[in-house]
Amino acid sequence: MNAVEARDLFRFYASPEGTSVALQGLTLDVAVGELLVVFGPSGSGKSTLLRILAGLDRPSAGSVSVFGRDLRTLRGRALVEYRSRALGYADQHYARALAPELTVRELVALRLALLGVERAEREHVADSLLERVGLLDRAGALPAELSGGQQQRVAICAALAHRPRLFIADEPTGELDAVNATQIYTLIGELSREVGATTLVVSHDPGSASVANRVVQIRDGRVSAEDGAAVVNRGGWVRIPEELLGGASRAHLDRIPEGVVLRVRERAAAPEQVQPVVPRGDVVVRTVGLTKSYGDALVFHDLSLELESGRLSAVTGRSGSGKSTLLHLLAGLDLPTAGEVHVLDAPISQLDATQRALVRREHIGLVTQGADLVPFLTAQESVELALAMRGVPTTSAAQALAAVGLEELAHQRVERLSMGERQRVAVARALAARPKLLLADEPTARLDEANAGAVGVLFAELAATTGAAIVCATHDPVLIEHARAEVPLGTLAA
Amino acid sequence: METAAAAGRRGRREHAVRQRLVVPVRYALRRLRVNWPRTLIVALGIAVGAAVLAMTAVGSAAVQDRAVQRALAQLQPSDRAIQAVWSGVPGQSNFDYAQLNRIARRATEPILGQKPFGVLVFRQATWGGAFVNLGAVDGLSRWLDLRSGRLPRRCTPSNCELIQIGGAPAAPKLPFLHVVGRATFRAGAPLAAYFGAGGGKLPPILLADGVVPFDRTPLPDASLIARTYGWIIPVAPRSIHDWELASLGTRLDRAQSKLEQKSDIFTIAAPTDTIASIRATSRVAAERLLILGGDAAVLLLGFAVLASTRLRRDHRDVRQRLIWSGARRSQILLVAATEVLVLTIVASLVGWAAGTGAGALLAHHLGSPGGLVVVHSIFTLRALEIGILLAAVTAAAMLAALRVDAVTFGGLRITVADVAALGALAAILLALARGKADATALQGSSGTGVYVLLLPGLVLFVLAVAAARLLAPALRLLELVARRATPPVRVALLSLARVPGEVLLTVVFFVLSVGIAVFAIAYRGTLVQGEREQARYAVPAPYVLSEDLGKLVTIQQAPLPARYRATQVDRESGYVTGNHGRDFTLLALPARSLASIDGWRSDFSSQSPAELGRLLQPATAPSLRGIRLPAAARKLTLPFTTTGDHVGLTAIVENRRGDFTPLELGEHGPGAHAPTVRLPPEARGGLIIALRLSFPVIAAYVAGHREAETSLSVNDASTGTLRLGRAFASWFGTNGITPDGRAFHFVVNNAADSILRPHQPLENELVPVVVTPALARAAGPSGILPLHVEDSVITAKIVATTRYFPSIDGDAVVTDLPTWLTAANTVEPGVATASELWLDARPPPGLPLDLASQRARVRELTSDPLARGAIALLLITALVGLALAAVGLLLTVVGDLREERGSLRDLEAQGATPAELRLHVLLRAAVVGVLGLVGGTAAGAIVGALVVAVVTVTAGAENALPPLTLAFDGKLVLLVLAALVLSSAVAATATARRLR
Repeated sequence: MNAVEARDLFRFYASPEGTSVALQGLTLDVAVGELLVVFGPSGSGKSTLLRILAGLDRPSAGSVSVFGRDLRTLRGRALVEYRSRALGYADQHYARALAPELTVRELVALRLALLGVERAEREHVADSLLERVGLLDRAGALPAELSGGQQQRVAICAALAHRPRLFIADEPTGELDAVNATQIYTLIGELSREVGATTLVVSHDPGSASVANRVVQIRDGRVSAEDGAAVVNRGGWVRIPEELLGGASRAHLDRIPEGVVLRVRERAAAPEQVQPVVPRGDVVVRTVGLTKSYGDALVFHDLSLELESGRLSAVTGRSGSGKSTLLHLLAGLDLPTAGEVHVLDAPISQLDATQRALVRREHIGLVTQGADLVPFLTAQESVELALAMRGVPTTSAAQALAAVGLEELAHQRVERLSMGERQRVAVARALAARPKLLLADEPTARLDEANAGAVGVLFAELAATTGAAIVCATHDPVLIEHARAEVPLGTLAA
Repeated sequence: METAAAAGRRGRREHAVRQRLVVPVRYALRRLRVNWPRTLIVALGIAVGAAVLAMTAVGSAAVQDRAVQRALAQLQPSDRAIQAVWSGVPGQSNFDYAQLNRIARRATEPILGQKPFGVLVFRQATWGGAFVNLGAVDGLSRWLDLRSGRLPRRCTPSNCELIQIGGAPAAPKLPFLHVVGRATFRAGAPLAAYFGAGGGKLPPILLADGVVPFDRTPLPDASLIARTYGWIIPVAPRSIHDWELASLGTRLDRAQSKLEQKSDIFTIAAPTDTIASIRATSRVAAERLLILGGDAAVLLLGFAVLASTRLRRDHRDVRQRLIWSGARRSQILLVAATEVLVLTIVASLVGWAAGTGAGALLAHHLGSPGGLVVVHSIFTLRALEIGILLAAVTAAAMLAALRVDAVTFGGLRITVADVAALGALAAILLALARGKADATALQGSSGTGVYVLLLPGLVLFVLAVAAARLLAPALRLLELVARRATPPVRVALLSLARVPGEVLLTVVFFVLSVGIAVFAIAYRGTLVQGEREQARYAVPAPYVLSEDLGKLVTIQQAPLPARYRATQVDRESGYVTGNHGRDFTLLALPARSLASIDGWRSDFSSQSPAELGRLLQPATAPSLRGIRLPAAARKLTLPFTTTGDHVGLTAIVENRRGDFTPLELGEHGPGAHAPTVRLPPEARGGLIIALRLSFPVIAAYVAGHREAETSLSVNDASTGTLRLGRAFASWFGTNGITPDGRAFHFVVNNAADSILRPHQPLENELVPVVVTPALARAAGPSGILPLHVEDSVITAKIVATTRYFPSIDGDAVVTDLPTWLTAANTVEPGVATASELWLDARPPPGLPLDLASQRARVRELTSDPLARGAIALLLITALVGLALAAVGLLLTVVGDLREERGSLRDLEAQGATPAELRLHVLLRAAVVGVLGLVGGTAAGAIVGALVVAVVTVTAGAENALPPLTLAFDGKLVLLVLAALVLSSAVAATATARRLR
């Protein structure tokens, strides 16, 4: 018997704008004790699959069972019992998962406490786990006093403390840098095996495959590939990778003795060679002796840099190194403790809030991680809003959404989009506005490799064609690869 | 037998179950401790609601007590005492005074928890040669006003000092009795039942101080003399409180029973019926305040629901977190329930404590003992039950708002507020089905009144929810406006149009709080205006003089200086007969004076007072005809001859004062006569309007006896002929008088006087009158109404109707004074005269007439503690409503800043300036505020009108006359709302300044 057996799962969501499909015939088995990593682009149905496996949602059609329990019919006490004892869960938003009022020890022991385990026993378990992840000395701390990586380690300990039979993790490194991400995957691999849990990890990060027994790809609500091989779904549906199609809109399949050959008849025209229209080299951003601290905590000190127009620059560094903080200072959303920031010769760090906002409106585009988008606006309205703020005609909104592959979702409200799709809306918005300085905070954090690559290409093109200075705070190697300059934080600071 | 292992397993299981309950509770408490600033405003709102409720409860009790005290103060002194009485002869009794005293005190002390004072009074007897009322009173001096000498010292058997009250000086010649002074009883002394007032033709009262020592004095043969012992507990205002009255009957019965067990001569006397009536009246005053209590309860619930929705997002996160942590549904519920319960309980306790304190101050302000009122209003089982119930309902409402999502019924989304509103609507319909609540209904109702008085709150709630329901589609229209707006404004408008849920709840609360404030302002204005209207209605001129029935001086006789401009008015009682027979009050006043009558309200009649005056005004002012007496004449001589039996003759003269002087001309037998009578000054120059022929007194006496002593009716009469001078040539007679040239044949008897008079101008004419609708119905379509006034029937023609007329309680007949006097004195000469004088200026002091002053009446009504209490509470309610509205608006801004921070950050990132961000937040608040203000003002006005229509009780808890009309002072409401808008705007702007 498999730990997880999902057959032809469908899940539809009705909304005023129409019905959206999250899963359309997904079939997946996970063996007992297996560690399965699920890759897939944003909106492919990964999170929906996890919600169904967690008993928080039910499929519109198809069957799903976990350890022989049919989740479609699991209700009331049995469902609670399943969730509280058999299941462990770690979310990408560790801050949201951890109760801010409880200490680290209490958080790890919370599930045991809710199950009625005696205090001594649960604290012993919590301390053992915290020691295992090197956080025993912080057992009395509150989550807000820990770094992102530490918080996620606590969240994983909390999810595994009761030794669940099924452990599921939804992009557990989505908000962490590469070093921390590697540590977390290693931890998940080790701990889940120690507690004997069957593990299902949803991720964009190729690094997660290193701890997996098996890797599957999900596209359009179906399993499209497994360990690199395309999967044939019911009715003969096969997902052909984009790189094989090369942008073609028609293909032919021919049988040969060895199997089947795919022949692409029409290829899309090759993209025109991008010609730089603005001379490179103008300094768009200049910082002098930039220092930022929060209370006693110093983020960076005496940071001086210059960022030029027509370039994609990547700000890199570990979690907590100040990447987001630097972007906020450059955008005038925050003020430095010391030093100066000049944007297009405007001393933005010395301006008042209104003047900074006007500089932002005039020259700066900011790509957030997508969580802050106004939820009740449609994707197109979000882009139009950004254009309207700048007094730019809103006609280019649809084009910008198409550039990030969201033309079909243009009239869907943001709150109905997946996190990855929201992030693409944020990118589209920045593209449409054509700012002189584009600041992007982890713009590919929730995107699969293909989409991340596409964003990298888009940014590079934008920099080249408009002469914009594009600064990305990222730990994504795919994006870093497209960058012409890298600003590694933690080394520049004096 | 259970093994140790099994017991261990069971123990662990039990421990686990306990842990599962304890952990969520601890988690909830931790959350409350850490997040207290977030919940502070919620707690504050609940506390304010609870405080108003507590204050209403205390205030209600204080008002009820004050009403009792007021009623007690108005009682006759003789009714203001509870007393045990023993009457008899000691020699025939088994008990001496010491024993009786012990028995009586043991029985009576528990009645009010007060010690009675003793009284002893002998029947009138001669003591030491003096015929006196002899007696003794414990603590005598407090009931006396010393007139001469000194007050007696406490009596001792060998030397007992006495004080004399009333009568001629008297001193018993007994060596141990000494009269030391004279005094009178103080007003309100509860001794009248024992001694009367003393003085006059009654024997003097001699009193000693102290019953016990006086009883031991060696009065001769005292044990054989009947006497009365009394033990009196004065029921003075403030000596007994409302809460003590409920069980007074039981305590009296118990005391009576105790006394009767010892001696059946004992009786207990107490004004129980009066007190029962006082209680019923005082309940009206208290129950009307429930309007405010009901409002406060609804406000509290509204705030709880609003506040909960503001915490909803936070709780959704907690729920999500707990679900991922494997918590059971019951554990998640326990977390929310613990938080809500602890918050509600703590806030309610704080609110009740604050409200109780404020209520105690209010009670003190009203003149009631604050501490005792609190003890008997808040520290009672009923109050405890209500407090717990309200806290539970509040917590349940909050929990429901936190957790229960809207359900869809056939495409219609139904929320917790909708369900609550439907329940409230059902309660309203039930209450309305039970009818009006005037003072009598409230007295008689045992619960009905509560339903009716809770109406305003319930109606407001239903209106608020209905407004929100209608608002949702209206808000969608904002999408159209948003298209052309600047980006921040567009986002704000779209958020209202697309995510209206929480906005609507805020609007509901705003409508509720503003509505309550507007209602309280309007109702307060109505009661204040009602006081003025009642005063002007009761006294329709600045000053009204009428006959003092104690002095029996008519207004015509009273010496009012000529410089005073007075309107003469006649007020009479009468009735109409037939199926619709009704009593009425007739008011005759000069028709032209109607135009300037005070106390008139336009809703009384479809016609104005001036129009009514014109309808009543005769073409020419009628006046009586007769024979004018010369102004210089000092005597009247009336020559006449008579034949037949004796007859009495009286000339009726309309004098210059405006009333009538009857001149007795004597009884005369056959022959020629010329009786002469002296003309009193007022009759000189007067008009003889009639001669009355009467059955001679002796004949009437004999006839009366004959009638009494026989079984037959004997209609004895005097018959004859009367010849008068030329001046009487055109006169005619009624009741047995037949003219024959200058002679008049008469038949007069005991049944009625016969009248000889000239033809008068209104002979057989209909008197135009304005009447109340009920009398108009009694007249039927012809509009002709025979009015029975005094012993006469005067036929009137109805020219108009009015529902009310100043100074008249009940059915009214209003007519022109000269017309009325002429018509009435035609039918019955010399009967009708003006009985009141309405003046613009204060009359001189010392007039032997009753004076009613409009200003004094206003003062009396406005200084009534009940009215002041009710009006003060309404003001407080208005302020609380406004404060909560401001808090609600602030809550909206604070909530938006927290919950919209994602959107705000996004806008900021796109280059929105701080001013634009503030505009975004403030615009949402402004839309809520404007909708709430408009809705709340309308709802407040509707509820005010409803309350005024249904609860017809004045500020002083009496039936309103004239009925209250809504005084919606638009300017004041605008002013108050402007203050609210300004303060809210300042607070909201200050809060939004966080967006820098």
